[in-house]
Amino acid sequence: MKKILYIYIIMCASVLTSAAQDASYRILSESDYTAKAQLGGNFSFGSRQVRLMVYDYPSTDADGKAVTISGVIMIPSDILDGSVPCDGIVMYNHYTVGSPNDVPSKCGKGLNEISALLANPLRPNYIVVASDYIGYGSSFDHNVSYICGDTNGRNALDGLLAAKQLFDDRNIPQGKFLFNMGYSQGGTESMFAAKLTDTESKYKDIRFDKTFSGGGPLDFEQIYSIYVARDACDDIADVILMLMSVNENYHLGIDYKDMFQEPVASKALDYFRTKDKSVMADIGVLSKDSIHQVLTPDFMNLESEPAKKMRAKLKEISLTTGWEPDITKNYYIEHSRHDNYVPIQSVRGIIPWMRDKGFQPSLVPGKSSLQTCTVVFKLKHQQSGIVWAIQTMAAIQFWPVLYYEGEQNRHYRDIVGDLDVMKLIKTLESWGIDLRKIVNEGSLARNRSNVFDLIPNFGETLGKVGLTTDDLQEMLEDSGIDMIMVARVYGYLKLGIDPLNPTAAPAEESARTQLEERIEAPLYLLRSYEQTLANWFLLAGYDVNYNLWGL
Amino acid sequence: MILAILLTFCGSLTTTAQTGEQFSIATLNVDGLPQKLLVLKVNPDGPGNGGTARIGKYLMQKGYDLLMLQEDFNYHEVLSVFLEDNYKMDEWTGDVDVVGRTIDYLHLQNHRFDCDGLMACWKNDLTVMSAARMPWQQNFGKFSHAMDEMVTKGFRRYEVTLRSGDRIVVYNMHMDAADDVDEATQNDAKDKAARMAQWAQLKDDVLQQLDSRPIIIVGDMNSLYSRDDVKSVFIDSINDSGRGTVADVWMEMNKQGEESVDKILYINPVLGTMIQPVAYTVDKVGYQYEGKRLSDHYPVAATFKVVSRATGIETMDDGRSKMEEGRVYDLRGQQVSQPKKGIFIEKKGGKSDKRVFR
Repeated sequence: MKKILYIYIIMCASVLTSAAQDASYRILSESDYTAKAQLGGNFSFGSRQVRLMVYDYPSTDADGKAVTISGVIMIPSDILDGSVPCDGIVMYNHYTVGSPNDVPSKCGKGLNEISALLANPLRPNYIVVASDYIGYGSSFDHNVSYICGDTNGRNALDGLLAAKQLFDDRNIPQGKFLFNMGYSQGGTESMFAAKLTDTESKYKDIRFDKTFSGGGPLDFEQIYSIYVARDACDDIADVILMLMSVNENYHLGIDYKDMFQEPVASKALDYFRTKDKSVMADIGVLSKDSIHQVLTPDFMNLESEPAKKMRAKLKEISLTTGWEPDITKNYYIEHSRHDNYVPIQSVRGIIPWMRDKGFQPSLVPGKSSLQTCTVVFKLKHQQSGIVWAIQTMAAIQFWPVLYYEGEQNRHYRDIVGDLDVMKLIKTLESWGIDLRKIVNEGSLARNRSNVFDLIPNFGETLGKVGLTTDDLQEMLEDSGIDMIMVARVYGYLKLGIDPLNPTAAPAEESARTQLEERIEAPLYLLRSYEQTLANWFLLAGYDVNYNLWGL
Repeated sequence: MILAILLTFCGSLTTTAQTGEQFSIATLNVDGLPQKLLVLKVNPDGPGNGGTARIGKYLMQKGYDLLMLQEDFNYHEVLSVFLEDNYKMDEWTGDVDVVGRTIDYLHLQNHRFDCDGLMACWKNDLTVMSAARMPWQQNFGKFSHAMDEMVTKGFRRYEVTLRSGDRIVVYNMHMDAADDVDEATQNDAKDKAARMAQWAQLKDDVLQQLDSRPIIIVGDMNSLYSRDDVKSVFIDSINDSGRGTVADVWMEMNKQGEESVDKILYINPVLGTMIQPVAYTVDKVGYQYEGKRLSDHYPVAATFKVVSRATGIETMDDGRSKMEEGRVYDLRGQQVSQPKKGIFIEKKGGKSDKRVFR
């Protein structure tokens, strides 16, 4: 039975630090709840008793003004009663809701993904904290801040601090790991939250063991341009919400008659204030699939004054603005190449930007890691979200084993690192790709040629698995694949070509054989394979192993 | 004055006397982890059944009075075959195996085998009472760093009555290890910290129990004086207490050979019975088969002589005399309402016997 407590906890200012004062909270309700892991409909593949707390806490809006934000805390009952240890906390950033009643604090659809996180058969022993974001729940009277800057990330982090204060007050175990994750809009907010832990002193003490960002637009200006260029989006109502959100929160003053066609222009503010997609449904927006059906011709012209104004603001509030990321942190960014709702171009620019900052791709995350995965199957946004969810669930489930000692488990690193280079080579060969011929001709092994010269050789083989060479090239660009490295490993093992000194005499076969038998390769050859392997394994049907790559 | 404070249980006064009894004690890590656990190669180079049989045969032939073993896990039965005729043995706390156990494979981070791998064997004509089994309060490493947290490492304490009637106390232990690669890359700070915490815990227990009986402390300490501050944490702390003097047999016997992580220390209490080492060996020659050593440690042995008998008071007692009929107690004499796995003392039919609850 649900019991409403309405407990107001007033922090005693005299004994609190300024940080702790900010971490005050108010519990709005507290109940025992059966969390279910549902894939859709009523089919549940797991359930778990949890304590569900609806709470609110102080945060700020886009102008920096104080606002009370609501959210939820979900604690597995077995953690609460002490029968299982707590492994850590997940700060979960929910996806876009179509109704204000869908946010987590309303126990709407926004609660489903959190429930699935805890109730899935792996039963990870974590506490989940999720913000409603501004404009919903306790802050319903405020503007939503949809895909426009760091406000929601700040709301989420303030929610985490408040929740941790609550855990301290109640002696609730918090475990030793902390994750930040979200898909779609949540993928965006998780990245902004991660950024804030680097850029704002209030959040400096928050250190996520990993940020899992999936399917989120990370380059706002790019996504607007892509929508216009493609003249398509799977959910045009969300494009409208994004443009309005920037216009309202940053006071751009663009008249909606200049932005939208009728009847959207007349209904826009109604939609923005109610946050209810049914307003757009009533005027037929949800059935439209072309951007030009709702945007004015002037706003479809990226060089028009209102469009330029919008683009300038989108650029100003981008993820990369003012961010010198701490490259010792770990990130995982996933996106489907066939996402028509959040086009992959909206993340494509971020990955090389992060690599340029110093994040290294790696088989398993070390001190500095940016892992990426562009899902190569033809999955749309929602389907790709399921892949992302499985990845993250597996990742946080096994994290305590792989990082139990507070550092990467060496045995795991060795096993994965050693096995997969050989697996990769064997997989390529099993597809009929003549690596020996390619390497022996020397173009790649001796680093005298453009890496993409290799791609045409794959044409026929790729066709068998439904891809084109253009697809492969996109994958390479997205993921930082280094086929030279692949060739070098092969060249060394099979032909004895020293990758650092290719003109030297070939290495002794016995040494190479011994190396191959041990399924080892020099570590410097391994460092950029994560994406390579993930994508190739998918192609080869090794999707069972795919889950490992989120770790 | 100090000794008077120590009188807690049924202490008994002893008288000073010269005695010359000699006895031998050996410590050996028998490397008894399974070679394979599920699909994992846990200890591929371990001796297994065949190698353990050779170890058992070796120990049987050596005939030490007191045998203190570590990592006596999965091949205990093989080992016992060779020792059971001449020795009495402490209770074995089990193997490292998934068979017959309920294991939460989805949360392996929460799993811990409740065995400690420690085993004591004593010649039939000695009287030995197992007085305590204590887990370490701090460990480091469950899935790497030598996986010390995967089992319940700790120490055991024994009260030994020698043939002459002299009484000594013996500790057997296995301290935290580090992987070679972590030591080589100086990534073993937390391993060292765990060991130091264990030495401190051991020191506390020794000082709590120290009476007029000499104490011998043996085991696989995974410690080297050059890298682990055993001196200040353990040796100096006890010496500075003014209640006893700690010595390392290897150091006293002119540092024969290289320092071993398997050590034999002893403490002569002030005004207590005094013992003195007369021999020390690390058998690198005999402990071989076809040119390879039988396990990853060599046996370390010492022979002691009782050089004087105490005037002090023996205080250690597990409280058996106070135990009530039909009750179950832990090895510290505390009553246990629902004993789980482990060694417990059960008072039944007027007797108080140790039992292994599985």
